[in-house]
Amino acid sequence: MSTLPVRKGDVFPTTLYTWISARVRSGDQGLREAAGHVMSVYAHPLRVYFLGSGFRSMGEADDLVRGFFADRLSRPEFLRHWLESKRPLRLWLIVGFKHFLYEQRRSAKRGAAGMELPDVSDDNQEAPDQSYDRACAKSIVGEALRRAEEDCRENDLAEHWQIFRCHFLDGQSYATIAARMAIDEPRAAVMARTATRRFKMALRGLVAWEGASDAQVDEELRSLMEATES
Amino acid sequence: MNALQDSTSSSIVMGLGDFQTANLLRLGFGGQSRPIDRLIARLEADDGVHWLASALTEIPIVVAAPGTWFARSGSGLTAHDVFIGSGPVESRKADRPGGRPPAEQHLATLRAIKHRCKQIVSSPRNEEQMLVGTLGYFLTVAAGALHHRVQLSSRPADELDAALLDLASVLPEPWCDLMNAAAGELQSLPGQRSRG
Repeated sequence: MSTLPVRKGDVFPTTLYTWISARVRSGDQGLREAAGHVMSVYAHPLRVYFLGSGFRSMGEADDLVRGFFADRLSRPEFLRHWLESKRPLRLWLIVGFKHFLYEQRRSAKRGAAGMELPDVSDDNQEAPDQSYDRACAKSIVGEALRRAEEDCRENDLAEHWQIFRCHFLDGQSYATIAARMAIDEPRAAVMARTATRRFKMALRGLVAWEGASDAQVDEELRSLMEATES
Repeated sequence: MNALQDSTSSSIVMGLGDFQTANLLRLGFGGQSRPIDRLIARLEADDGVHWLASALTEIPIVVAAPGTWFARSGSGLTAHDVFIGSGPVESRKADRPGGRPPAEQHLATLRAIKHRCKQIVSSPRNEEQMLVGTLGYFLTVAAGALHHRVQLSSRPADELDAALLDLASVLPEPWCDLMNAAAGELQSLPGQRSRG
């Protein structure tokens, strides 16, 4: 699995779009690294979308998602066009995936030499786009957690991260955590906030796109939240 | 320990519920649009300590009530003298040859510095000035709470407390001690707010 670099002491860790931009410019190896990252975060959400959509009769989800990535991510222009699009990557990918599925469908029809194949579309009652957004939310948050944890470890903040996890993932109070770690409660809260800042930067770096303002990134986070709350 | 701990990214995703995911997404709001967030980010940089040393010399040390102590200090008064010093205003009775300013002069000076820093932050010429103004603002608030048990800011106490603790987590000594101790004082100051 390709991972974004986390630099020690980095105030503004590399955002996904600046990292991808650099990879795309650096040739085939860079393109493969960028593709690896995109696949690691978005393969599952695209599978979720496919399985909830009217396309699902076309074949195995894994095969089609893999085919989509192999076809699109092998072309430097696909990610370059995303960078130029000024749109969130999740939207760019789902639109591209739908185009790919329609292409596959047309190709299958041509291959069927006049045989009747049922028309398919993605507009079924299971709201596949919403399922996709929810899966994206979890995948992006998971990746942000992974990045922030790595960041904390590399910057001697492993205990800070532990408190963050106990509080925000396990729901433990700072009083409980502080007692177990033999520190005072305000100190536990401060340590958690330090880790929270790392997580926040990782999360925003993953959802941001070229030219996105803080308000637009907030709006994207809000959209992902709504997908998990509906 | 729970099932999420010590797990890989993929297993974290599998273990995340909708509610948990939404709460974690909520932590991402806000960017670094708040001056204090940008100040913390600047202090966390590799050269944060060096930047701090320079920024402390840029804070406008406005002497609001000149007196013996300030006259002696003159233009050489540093941020360390004003915010930490040799225990400023332990005695609130009078100026003393030993070097501690009287409480009234010190408090008036803190108010003047805070007012000037607020002006800077409200219309900074550049990012650097905004960061210096923000640093000066929170240092005066911390010094007011610690040395005078006065809340110099009109911001909610909880917000101030959190801000001071956040700054304590990224500042070196003795500034982190000042912030930590001031946050402790703020918590014990119900209703003692001095708006400004």
